[in-house]
Amino acid sequence: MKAEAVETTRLLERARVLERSEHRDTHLSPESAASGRIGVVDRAMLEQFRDGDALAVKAVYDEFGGPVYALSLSVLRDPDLAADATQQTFLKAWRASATYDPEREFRPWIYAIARRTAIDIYRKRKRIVPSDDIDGATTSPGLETAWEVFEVRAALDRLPDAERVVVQLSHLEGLTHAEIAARLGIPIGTVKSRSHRAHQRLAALLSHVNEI
Amino acid sequence: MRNGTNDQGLGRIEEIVDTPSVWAEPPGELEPALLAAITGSERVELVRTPDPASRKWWGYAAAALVAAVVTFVIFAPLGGDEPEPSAVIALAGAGVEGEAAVGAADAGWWIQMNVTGLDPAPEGSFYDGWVSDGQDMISVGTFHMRDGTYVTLWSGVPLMEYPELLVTLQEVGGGTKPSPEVVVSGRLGD
Repeated sequence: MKAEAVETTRLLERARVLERSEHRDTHLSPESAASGRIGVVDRAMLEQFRDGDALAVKAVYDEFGGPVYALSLSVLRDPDLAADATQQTFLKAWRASATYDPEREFRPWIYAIARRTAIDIYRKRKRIVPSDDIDGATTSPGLETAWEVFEVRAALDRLPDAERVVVQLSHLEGLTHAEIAARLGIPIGTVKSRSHRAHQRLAALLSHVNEI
Repeated sequence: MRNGTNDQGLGRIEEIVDTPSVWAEPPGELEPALLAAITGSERVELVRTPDPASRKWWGYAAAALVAAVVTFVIFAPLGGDEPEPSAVIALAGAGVEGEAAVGAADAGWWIQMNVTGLDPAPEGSFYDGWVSDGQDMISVGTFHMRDGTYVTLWSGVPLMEYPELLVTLQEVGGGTKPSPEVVVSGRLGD
């Protein structure tokens, strides 16, 4: 146990060193350089993931932790269960990483694991908790939109920070452009242009979702 | 639409963007906890066709020519290529969980299951793996699971057309039809 803690500390420290030295950027696509929170895990990183590099799991988590957690919360409606589902998802992905083919898209692969994990937890929970405390249906109502939630969150995480915060304040907090401008201390024209660009990006990134 | 100017073709995903869970952040302690869990975990290792060029392989061949010949006969029909996994099926049952890595080979579609919580089949019984399209069930192999957590099954039908994977507990002498006692199952694409 002590050895595991030391190993974890070593991994985290190594990750911090790599981030400081901008090593991480070498694994990201050029597109990500202009983007905000995350990059796009590229082929080289996915090969490292397949080969069992724990640091690659961290990179994968950095990119997909948000979408997996959002999906899990959407299905399970409980932050603690969603956190558990998120951890289980990445643990399962790690255990099965040798079976992952880097030629194939990673997003549907991790989505499939996340969805199944959330369903399993939902069903186990349903067996334990009386039916009036949790939806009586065999599947969560959040399951219907699980894919959309996952994809939308992944797209939001690819927005530049300055644009993402405008979308967040508008959609999550319901602020007007004027209120956002006041909150961020920037001109309303800037808010409008960022909002416009952000929505254009989202529409492009999510065009496949609307086609389903 | 709160500001009247944001509609850039988001369509029905607009309401998804409004959903609080879409914006929720995983707890900060999750990442170190995950890395800690990974440190103490083992990965599924694929069963790979032995590489004829490896020194270890030739060492065995030199030491036991007969064994090498037998092994060549066994592996020659597979074309000598390493199996390429193409998907993972999440498996679940009562107290049982795991994954099945699947892929195509010359001889058929291989399914490598790694499950935990599946008790050894009691004496007089065995497990039978099945793939199903929702109507027909086709056996992909039998096993007893009396040692270890891995088992490799083979399917002669495409898994894309028979995406359900099930394991039933069968009685010896009880016929060749699947029993209703499904101990673990999963579906390709879920």
